[in-house]
Amino acid sequence: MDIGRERLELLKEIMAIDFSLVELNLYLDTHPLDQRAQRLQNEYVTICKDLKEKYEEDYAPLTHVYASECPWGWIEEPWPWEINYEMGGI
Amino acid sequence: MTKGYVYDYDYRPEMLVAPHYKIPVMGPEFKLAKAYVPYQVFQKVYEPMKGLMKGTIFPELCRPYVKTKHRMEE
Amino acid sequence: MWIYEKKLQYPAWVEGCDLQIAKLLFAQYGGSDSELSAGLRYLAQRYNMPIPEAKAVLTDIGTEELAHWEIIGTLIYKIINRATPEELKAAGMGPNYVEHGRDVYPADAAGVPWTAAYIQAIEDPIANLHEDLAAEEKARTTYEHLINSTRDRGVIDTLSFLREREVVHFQRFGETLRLVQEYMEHTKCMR
Repeated sequence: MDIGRERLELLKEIMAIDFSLVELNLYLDTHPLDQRAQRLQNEYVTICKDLKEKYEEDYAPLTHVYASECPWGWIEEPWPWEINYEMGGI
Repeated sequence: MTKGYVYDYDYRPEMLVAPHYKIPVMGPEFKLAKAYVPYQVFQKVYEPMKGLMKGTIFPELCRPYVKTKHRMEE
Repeated sequence: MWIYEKKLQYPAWVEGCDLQIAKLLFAQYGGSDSELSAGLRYLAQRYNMPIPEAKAVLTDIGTEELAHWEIIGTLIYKIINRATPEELKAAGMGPNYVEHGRDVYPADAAGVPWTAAYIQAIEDPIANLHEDLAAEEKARTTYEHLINSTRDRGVIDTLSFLREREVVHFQRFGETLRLVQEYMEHTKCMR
């Protein structure tokens, strides 16, 4: 399923920043005193929060914890395995 | 505290194996019958989209796989 | 507890309809060295780890493996949902289609259902961590075999991402092993 260029770009940006946060999370688990990593993590967290807020406001919720209107938007398609990420295929 | 394994300068692992193997000495703090992976210390990171495409944000952990040829192509 | 975030970790994609690789991808979906095995193994081993770093690493990597399991499921779903039952049968996926339709059922590439016999949790943290290191290497190797088995650019791209994750996980488990070894050494002296 296609979701429109802008929504897809924003979703990919969120995927990218979330991935950096996962990497930093794993790194910090074994390096809990690394302040450089913690500063970077804190920077990315702010960016990530802003991007996710924008996505949830403009397009669709990312978690079930969100203020909904009627009807319940969480069930809306597409679900992640249905999206065409436009990388050169489906 | 158990003592680490101490090597004699003239009688080290590297001298006891075939010459194409490099077995550098690990200091006395490393014990026999234990495995050690070097500890990473991060220097730089890839910016987020590049990191996502590569599979890691740490350049020193990036180990791309070069596909082996199909038999048919040889 | 687990919360679901409605996005994939990586934009998983397929270029064409390589049904052969769809059949083989089950190795990483429900096979012995699959993402499912990895996820459940780490999540089962985390309860009795002696140090907080180890509990965190096992929980976080276990959770990430479930996200990878979802990505493999997505690749299989995208490929087989474009095929007719006749095409599936011609590709050798007849039995799977008859028994599971186009659902992505947790079994290996030969159709053997997943079992917890693929994993172990034995309380000794050194033994557990060595099993985890081995699991990461086996997963990496399986990905290399899968990459060798297809020309589909999307599948290769997505699997390359997942393969690199295994390399990073190995590093983290290696660091956790160092920490646990130091801890065990230290507690021995205290006695």
